[in-house]
Amino acid sequence: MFKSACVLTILAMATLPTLSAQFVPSTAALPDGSIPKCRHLIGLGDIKSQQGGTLGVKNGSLSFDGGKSQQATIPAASIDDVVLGSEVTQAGGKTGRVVKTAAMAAPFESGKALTILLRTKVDILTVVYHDDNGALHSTIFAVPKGLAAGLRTQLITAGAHASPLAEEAQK
Amino acid sequence: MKPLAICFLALLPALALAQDKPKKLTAGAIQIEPIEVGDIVIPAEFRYAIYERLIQRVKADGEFKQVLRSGDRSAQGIPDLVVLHTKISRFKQGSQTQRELTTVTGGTRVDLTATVERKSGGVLLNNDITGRVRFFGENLGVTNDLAKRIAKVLKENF
Repeated sequence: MFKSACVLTILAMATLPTLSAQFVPSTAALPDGSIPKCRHLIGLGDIKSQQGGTLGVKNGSLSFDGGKSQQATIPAASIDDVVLGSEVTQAGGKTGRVVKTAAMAAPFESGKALTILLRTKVDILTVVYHDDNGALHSTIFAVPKGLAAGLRTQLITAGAHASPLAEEAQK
Repeated sequence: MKPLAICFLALLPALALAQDKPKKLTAGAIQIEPIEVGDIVIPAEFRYAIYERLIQRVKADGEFKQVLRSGDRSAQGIPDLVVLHTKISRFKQGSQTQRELTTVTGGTRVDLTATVERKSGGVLLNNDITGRVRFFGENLGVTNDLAKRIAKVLKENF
């Protein structure tokens, strides 16, 4: 039992560099200003929660492209507010979660080291908008750190309304 | 005669329970208003995630024929409409890393008061509800717990 737990830990540790390289988001936006490796958390109609995809501003709309049948757009003119936040969360997606769960069997709770190694900071982008009937909607995305502010600026340029950020309001 | 009396006695507790059961409220549609925060400092993503998850949950439960969002103009023509207001009374943001390392600290907690009113006025329900994330998951997971609890209260009363 002890031996198998040790093997599990070693395996989990060995996969770490691969996981980090694969899942910790790069901080570069694409040439057209859209941001890959975003994660949809909630609010975009039929799009699944935790769906990964590219977020950008195209033809005066905020667009999310998560692959086949996982696409949505929100016209910038219907956006009432764009709010930025941040959160420390787990890197590695589903694979990271599986590795962490497997590492629980490691002796002396050494698997908890993965929690420290597999963490990443993300920006949280909250978009508040209304539909044609006046109903209030909101959608929330996790965006690679440092990139949400640029997207907010693009949205404002495209015609979205946004309340001033805390630092802007203090000036 | 004797078995009949025994059956009657056996059914008595069930009858008493049936009488104690509160009468359910009725409404064909519910309109969900966004979370009111008052003086409480809470990140926007939590406020709107509670709102969105609540709409998802109430729709999925199917207690109401129509679930309307705040500001929806089609609500004006619905006579048996009730409105759900939620006001946050306490918010404590924890840390996912701390939770996973220590197991007992770093929890995220949101306390709120959920009120259901008739469109014409009059409070039908007023409940204090707490949502928590204690062990695993992102801080935003608290919004799921909270929506689940509010939807449960609605299900029990409608």
